[in-house]
Amino acid sequence: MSESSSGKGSGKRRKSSGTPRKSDSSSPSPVKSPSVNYAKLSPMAKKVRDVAADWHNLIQRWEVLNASGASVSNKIVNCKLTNIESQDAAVVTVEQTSAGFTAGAGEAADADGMSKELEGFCNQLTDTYNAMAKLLEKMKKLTLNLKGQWELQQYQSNKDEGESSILFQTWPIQHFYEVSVELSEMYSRELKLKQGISENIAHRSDRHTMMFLASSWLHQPYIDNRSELLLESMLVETGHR
Amino acid sequence: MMQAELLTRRQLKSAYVTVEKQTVRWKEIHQNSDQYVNSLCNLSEQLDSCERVPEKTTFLKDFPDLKIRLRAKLLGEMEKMAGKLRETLCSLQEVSNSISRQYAASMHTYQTHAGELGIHKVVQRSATEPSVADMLEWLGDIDRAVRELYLQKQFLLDTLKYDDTRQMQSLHRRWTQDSNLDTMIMGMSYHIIL
Repeated sequence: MSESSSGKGSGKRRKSSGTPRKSDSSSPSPVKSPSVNYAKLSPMAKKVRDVAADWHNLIQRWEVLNASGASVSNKIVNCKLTNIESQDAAVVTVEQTSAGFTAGAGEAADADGMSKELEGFCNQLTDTYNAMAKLLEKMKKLTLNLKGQWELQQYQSNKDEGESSILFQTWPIQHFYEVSVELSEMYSRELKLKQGISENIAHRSDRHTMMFLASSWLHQPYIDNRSELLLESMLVETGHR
Repeated sequence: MMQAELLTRRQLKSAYVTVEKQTVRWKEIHQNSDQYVNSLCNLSEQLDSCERVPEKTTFLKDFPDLKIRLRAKLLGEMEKMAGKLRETLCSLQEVSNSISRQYAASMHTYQTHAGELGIHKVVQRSATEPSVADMLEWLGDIDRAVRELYLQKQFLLDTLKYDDTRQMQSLHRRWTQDSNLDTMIMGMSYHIIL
């Protein structure tokens, strides 16, 4: 691919792009292929490289949000459970004592305090969900970006045939796009689940259902183990690892 | 003190020094494994809830495959934790082996010099030192106790069933029941001035 013909590549670089954050404890990088000189990449390859780094950073941020959301949803479940227990206890005391009205008043005050606490947690969970939704938007934009690159390349290769379509070592740009689509599909399904959890968790009273929802939040059942492999191979391919 | 007795006592002392160090190691390894056992119990509770969610929950209609997926995730996590416990088990085996070697070495030293020592010397104790026979016996007891504990844990891991909630809930209690090892070894090494 000739450099001059790819007009998109010379556009402004986003600040968020670049190498993945140092915070992740990655294994020592594998031996880099000597055939790829990462300093002299075509503009399109540079863009794709940035996209891969962005994917990495977004997923890291997602994981942080997921962990904080999980702890909040646990708090909600605990809150609900103690509430249910104290209600049961209150019912018992009402039955046992003749002065039922005082116990009833105490219980009402309790439930009120509880509901305020619960509401605070629910708001936190909704905020987390919203932050995750924003991340997903960014992920979708990355996918669109790759799609654009791919289409551009198709357009160019129609003009001058015989150009190699491999950007780095083995992957054509189409493959980057497919990986990105697969990843964002996983995350979008997971986000839908999170939405369901954040809307439902505080309205359940069955212990098992609540536990189920909380652990669904934590373990992210719609994000396959494959996602890690996809991301890592993208990072290796683009030379970040 | 004659040469043979000196050698045997020296060997026994060094054996007890090693045993004490290894006991400390055992405790460290064991304490470290607590977190894995706890998360295994926790995960099994989650798995139980996952199985017992009422099928007709409206929430599940929107996510028909959620239950299966969560189950798979949970089992994967449990597998990881069990793997960690198996690593722990390997370290514990090293400890157990090291104690066994000390016992074997002490027995060997004793047997080589047994004829020279004579029964009188072997059972003779002083105000500051137990007899050679006692020390050998205690060492054998420690060796057997540690080996037994190790085998108990191995059995526990080998018979682990992830979806057997009751078994999983008792795992923590059964995994941590080796407190008498401590008292036993402490009680014995108390008699020996190291």
